[in-house]
Amino acid sequence: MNEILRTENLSVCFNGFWALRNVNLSVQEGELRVVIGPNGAGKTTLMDLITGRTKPTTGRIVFGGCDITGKKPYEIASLCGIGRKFQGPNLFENMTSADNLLLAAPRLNTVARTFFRSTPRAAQERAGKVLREIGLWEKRDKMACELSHGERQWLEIGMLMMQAPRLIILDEPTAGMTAEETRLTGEMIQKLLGSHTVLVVEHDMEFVRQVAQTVTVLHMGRILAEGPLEQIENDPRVAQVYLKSQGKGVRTSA
Amino acid sequence: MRRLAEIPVNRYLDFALFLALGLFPLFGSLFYTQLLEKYLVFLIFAFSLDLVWGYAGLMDLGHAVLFGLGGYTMALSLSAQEGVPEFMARYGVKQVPLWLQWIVPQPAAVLVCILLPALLAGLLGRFLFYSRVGGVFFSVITLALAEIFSLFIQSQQEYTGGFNGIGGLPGLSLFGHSLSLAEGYYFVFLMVLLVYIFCRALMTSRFGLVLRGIRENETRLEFLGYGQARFKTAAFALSGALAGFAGALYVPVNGMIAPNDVGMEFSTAAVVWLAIGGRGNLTGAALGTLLVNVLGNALSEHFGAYWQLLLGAALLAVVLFFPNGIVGSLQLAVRGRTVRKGAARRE
Repeated sequence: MNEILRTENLSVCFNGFWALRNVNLSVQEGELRVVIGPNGAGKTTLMDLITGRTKPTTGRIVFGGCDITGKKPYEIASLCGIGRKFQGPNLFENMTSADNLLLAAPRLNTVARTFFRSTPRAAQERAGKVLREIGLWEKRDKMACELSHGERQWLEIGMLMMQAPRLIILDEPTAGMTAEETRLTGEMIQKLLGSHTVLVVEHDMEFVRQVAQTVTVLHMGRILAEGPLEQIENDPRVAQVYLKSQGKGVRTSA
Repeated sequence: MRRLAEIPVNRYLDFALFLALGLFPLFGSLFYTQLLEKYLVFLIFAFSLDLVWGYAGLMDLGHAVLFGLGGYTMALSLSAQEGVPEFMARYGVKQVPLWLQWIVPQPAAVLVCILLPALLAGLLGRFLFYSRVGGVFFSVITLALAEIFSLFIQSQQEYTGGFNGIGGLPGLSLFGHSLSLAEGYYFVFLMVLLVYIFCRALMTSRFGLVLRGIRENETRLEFLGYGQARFKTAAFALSGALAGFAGALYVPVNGMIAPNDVGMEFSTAAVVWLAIGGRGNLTGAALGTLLVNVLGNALSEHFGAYWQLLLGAALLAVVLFFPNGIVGSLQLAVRGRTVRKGAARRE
């Protein structure tokens, strides 16, 4: 397998607080990696670093063989093809579902490629296909703000499908969803898996069991453990910092 | 995929508006034709503001600076057609300055009127948008800029006529042939139509989609790989070019230009037109501009300065009850109806 993402001794310091310390993470092409950890462990910070939202204090991030440390978010998104879904919905509220998807179409994001040009037919057709896949075809002309909570999350996942990035980062994709919506989301993510590398931050252990292959546990800015799901669940250190607080049955609320 | 057909209500409105404007000189009095010609120029200015404020969400409170740059350039060029202008001579200027000689030929003047404001807007964009100055900070900076520009114009009396501005200018002429009122009206009308088609085409293109995306959620757009600063700068420079062009047309139509055409007062006036008419669909800009100016003219005859109070009350009412403006609210109403109709059909 090819390594697609590697962080080397990644550390970040916010006003004297080390949010991450010497994180060495390696993700293989086509893998689905779940990052778990208690609140404040640095999960979202790690995603911010990879997508260029925050700059690391020390260390390097290598993606697909290129050093992307300190690059701007839009460069990382367009040049490397890293797509991200944020914690909580983050849509273009007063635009239709269809327009939301059209904006996510890849490689059509420079002034020269948009100036007096319409979205190419191929991209428009793909947007239609994605709309059917996420079950929003009937609601393509609805504004994003008119959709239900679950539909909005799916629209975001649809935008990721549309963007077709090499690496997809999902920050708590099931937060605030009903059990049924969570299950459907899990299925959609598994659909994504075939062709993409996915990095997920998640709290809901039920969901983690549904999708996870390899799990990385973060604690106080460091990697505490890493390995297959069963190994992590039986790791006494992990149980102590994270799983213990939720009892042996490990059922986390979102 | 079938593209969402934009709610056509504003297209009908556009058509009706342009039809009315096109037919007006055939029926209206000379006085009102002349007045409407001036408002036509304001339409171009309103469209240019709609690009940045309505579509990209950048509330420019100093847009008249760009208008004024074009306007003053044209005014200087027109006044220097026959040697040193009178207001300069009064301050002891004996020779037409070199920079003014360059813009005496009309084609050069028009070019400068368009390029200079575009350049200023582009530079502003380069410094503001690339350092992530946005939202209310952008508005405050542009507001300050409007005041600075107007003070600057007033202070350079020997070149700008100071507080009195530059007046007594010739009307519109084309290739040395000066246009009659009706000809001038239709020339300006044609320009408005071209600018409208230009803006409409650009805003229905993907560029417009991205600008709306910037308005709605700039951060998200960046994570989709768009360099938002580039788009904003491009839109702002383009809007500057259009505003400057409006300024250049305004001067021969109005016969004069003065500092209050380029400062805060005029900038905020345009903001009011858009707020009342509705933003982000061009139609609202056109409707608001015509409505406020025509009504303003009619009402000020009867109520004098009190008309401004009425305008203030109307603005408050719009902001409180119809935040999307007249056209925006109309679109929502029509949209609600079609959505309900669609639901009924499915059942």
